[in-house]
Amino acid sequence: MAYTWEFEPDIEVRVIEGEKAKFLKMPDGQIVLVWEEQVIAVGKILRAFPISDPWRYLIVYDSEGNEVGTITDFSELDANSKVIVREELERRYRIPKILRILKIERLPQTGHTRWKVETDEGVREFVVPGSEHIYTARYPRIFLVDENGKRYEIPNLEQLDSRSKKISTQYL
Amino acid sequence: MSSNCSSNCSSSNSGDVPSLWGRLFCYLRPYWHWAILSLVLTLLVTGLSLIPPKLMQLLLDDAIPRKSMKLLWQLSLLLLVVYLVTTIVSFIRTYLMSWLGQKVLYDMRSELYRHLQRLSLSFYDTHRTGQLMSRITGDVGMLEGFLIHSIPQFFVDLLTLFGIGFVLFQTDWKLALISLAPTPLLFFMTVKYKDFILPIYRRLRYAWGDLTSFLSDTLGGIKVVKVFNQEEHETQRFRIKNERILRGSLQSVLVWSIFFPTMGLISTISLVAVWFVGGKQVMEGTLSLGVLTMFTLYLQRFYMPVQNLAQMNDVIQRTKASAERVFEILDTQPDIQNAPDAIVPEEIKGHILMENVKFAYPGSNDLSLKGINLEIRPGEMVGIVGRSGAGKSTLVALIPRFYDPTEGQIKLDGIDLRKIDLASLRANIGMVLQEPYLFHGTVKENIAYGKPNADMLEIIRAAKAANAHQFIMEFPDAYDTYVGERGTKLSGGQRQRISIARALLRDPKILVLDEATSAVDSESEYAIQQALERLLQGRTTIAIAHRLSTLRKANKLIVLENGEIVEEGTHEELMAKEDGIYRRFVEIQMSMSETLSISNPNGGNNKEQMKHAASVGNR
Repeated sequence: MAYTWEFEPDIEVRVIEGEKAKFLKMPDGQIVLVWEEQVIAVGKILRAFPISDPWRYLIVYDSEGNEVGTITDFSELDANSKVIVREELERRYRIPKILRILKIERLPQTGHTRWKVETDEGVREFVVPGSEHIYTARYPRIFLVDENGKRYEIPNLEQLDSRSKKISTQYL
Repeated sequence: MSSNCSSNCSSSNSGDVPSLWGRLFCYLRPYWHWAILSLVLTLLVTGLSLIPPKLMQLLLDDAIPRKSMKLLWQLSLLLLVVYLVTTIVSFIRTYLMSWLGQKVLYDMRSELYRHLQRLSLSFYDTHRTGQLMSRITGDVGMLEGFLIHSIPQFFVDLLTLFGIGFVLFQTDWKLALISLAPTPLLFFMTVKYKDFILPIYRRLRYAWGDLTSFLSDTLGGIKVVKVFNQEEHETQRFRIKNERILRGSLQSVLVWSIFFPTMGLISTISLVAVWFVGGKQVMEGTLSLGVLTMFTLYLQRFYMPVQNLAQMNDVIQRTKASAERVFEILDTQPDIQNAPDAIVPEEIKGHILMENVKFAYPGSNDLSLKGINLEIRPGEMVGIVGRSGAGKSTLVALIPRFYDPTEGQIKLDGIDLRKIDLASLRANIGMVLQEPYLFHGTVKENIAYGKPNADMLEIIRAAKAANAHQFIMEFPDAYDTYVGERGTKLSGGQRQRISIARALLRDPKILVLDEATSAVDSESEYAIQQALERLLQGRTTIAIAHRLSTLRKANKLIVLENGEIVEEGTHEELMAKEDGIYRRFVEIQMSMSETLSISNPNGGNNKEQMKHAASVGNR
C-alpha cells in the first residue's frame, strides 16, 4: 500500500507584479484583485515582514483564506491600488501609539500589571500578563501585548515625558 | 589591533614562548603610547597630591608668623593652581585609563570568542559552557583590572610611600622614625587579613554558586516540584543554603569590622606619638608648628598605600590564575584544522565512502565505531537504526568533520575529507537535529542563518517548502517575530520546521538528519515528514531515526550495534531476516501503535500513527 498524504499544502511562491495587478473596491466594500485575467475576491492582505520591511512582500489571501500570491513591492502598484492596499494594511496593522503613561499598578494576586495610558486613540486601560509580553528587542521602540492579545506601541521610550518615564522605570 | 596579540603573544606554539606576564602586557602594546601617557599622568597626580602639606607648613611657619600678605597670596594661589591642575589631570587620566581598559577588554573578549568559535567540538565535550562564559566575562575583567588599575595604582602607592618617606626623613629623621614605626606591623596585618578573609570569601562564593544552581534547578522544574508536592521540602533546602550564605556573610563582616578599626587604631597610635613627641619639640622650640602639621598631614596619606601594597601579592596571584585560565583556552589548538594544501572542490556530488572507520572520543580508549564500511551514492538516502549508544550520532558527526576518524578514512567524491577545505565541506552539509537550535532573533534571521544575504522571497520559499510559512504568517509579526531564547516561544514542531527551512535555504548537497522527528507530536510529524521529503530531493542523505516511518524513503538501511554495522540492506531484505534486529524494531513499533489504537479507538492521531507505521511495513 503506498502512503498518501492527507493534505498537500500550497508551497508555491507566486509573485504578483505590481504593474500587472490591479486592486479595486466594490460598492459593498469588498476588495478584488484583477490579476492574470482573473478576478479574485480578496480576504486579507498580510505583511510578511511587518517591522523590517512593511511595504514589500505583502501576501494576498482570497476570501476563503487561500494564499493568492505575494506583492513584492507596494510602490509598483498603480495609484488607485495603492490607496486601497494602504487602507487595508493600515486598518489591519493599526496599533495604538502610547503618548503618555498615566499609571501602572501591579496586581497583587497574579503579578500582572495594569496600565493606564494615553494613546493616539484616547485613554486606554489594559492588563499586561507578564514581562514576556513586553517586547524590548527593538528598544527604544517597545511593544506591549495585553491579556487579549491587543498590541500597543511606545514608539520611543526615551522621548516620553519625564513623568511617564518615571512611572515606567520599574516595569520596563 | 588585537590581531598583533593573537599572532605574536598568545600562541605558545611559536617556539619563543613569551612569559605569562609578557603575554598579558602584550594586550597593551597596540596602545602603548596611551598607556605610558596614562602612567605619566598618574605619577603627576601623585606628585601633586604631595604638595599641599608642604604648602601648609610654609603657611604656618613663614606666612603667618611674618604676617606676609604677599606670601599668603602666593601660597593660596599656588594651592588653588595645584588643585586645579590636579582636577584637570585627574579627569584626563580617569577617562584615558577607562578608555584603555575598555579597549583591552574588548580585544581580549573578541580574541577569546573568535578562538572559541574555531575550537573543535571535542573541546566543548570537556568544558562546561558556564565555565567558558565565566572566563569571557570574569577572568577577562580581572586581567583588565590588573593591567589598567592595579599596575598604575602600584606605581602610585610606591611613589607616595617613597615621596612621603623622603620628605619626612629629610625634615626630621627621629620624628619620621616614630611616624613610620607601625608600618611593618600594618604590612604584616594586611597580609594576615588576607589569610583570614580569603577562605571565608571562597566559602561564600561556593555557597552562592550552589544557591544559583539550586534556584535555576527548582524554578526551572517548578511543575515537577508542584506535581510531587515538594514545595515545603524545597523551601527547607533553600533555607539551608540561604543560611550558609548568611553565616559566611556575617563571618566576613566580623573579620573586617575587627580588622579595619584595628588598622585605624595602629595608625592612630603613630599619630598620637607624633603629636606627643612633635608637640613637645614644638614647645621646646626644636620643631616648628608648620613641620608638625605637615607631618600629621603626610601621615594621613601614608597608610593607605601600605595596605594596598600588602594586598598586591594577592592581586598578582588572582591575576595569574585568571591569566592562566584565559591563556589555556587561547593555547588550545583546534583538533580539526584545514590541511595546508586543502582542496576546494568545484562541485560536490555527494558520494560518501567510509573505509574501515574506527573512532574513539578524545581521552577515551573505548572505540565508539569499530571498522565501519559504508558507501552512499549521490542522491541516495541511508537510514541508520540502532539502540541508544550504538554509535549512530557519532557516525554522522564524522561527516562534517566535527571529529576525525581515529583510524580509516571517509571520502567525499573520492577525496579524503581531511584534504577538503573545511569551510567548503561544511557549506555543502545541512543538518536537522532532534532538538533544533534556534538563536534569539527573528524567524527571518533564523531561517537565513546559513545564508545571511538571502533574498526575502527565498526565505519565504524555504519556509513554504518546510511547511512553516502558514504558521509564521499567523504570528502578528510574521517573519519578524522574535522566537525567544533558543526558540522557546515556538512549539517543538514549529522549531523543527524552521530548522528545515534553514537547511533548505542553504541548499546543501549532503543532508544529515539526526532524529529529526523524535521530539514532535504526531500531527507536527506529518508536516515535518512532508517538509523533509522535499528537503531530501536530489541530496545525499544520512538519517538516524527511532520512528522508522521517517526512513520509509531510504534506499538502504543499516543497523548499528556497539559501533558496528550488524545488518545492512533494503527494508524488504532486512524484514526477511527471521531474527533480525531491524525486523524486531519494526514489530515493536507496530505493536506499540496497535496498543495505542486499542486503548483509544477513536483517537485520530493514533490511527494516523498506525497508518504511519504500517506504511513502513507495507511498502
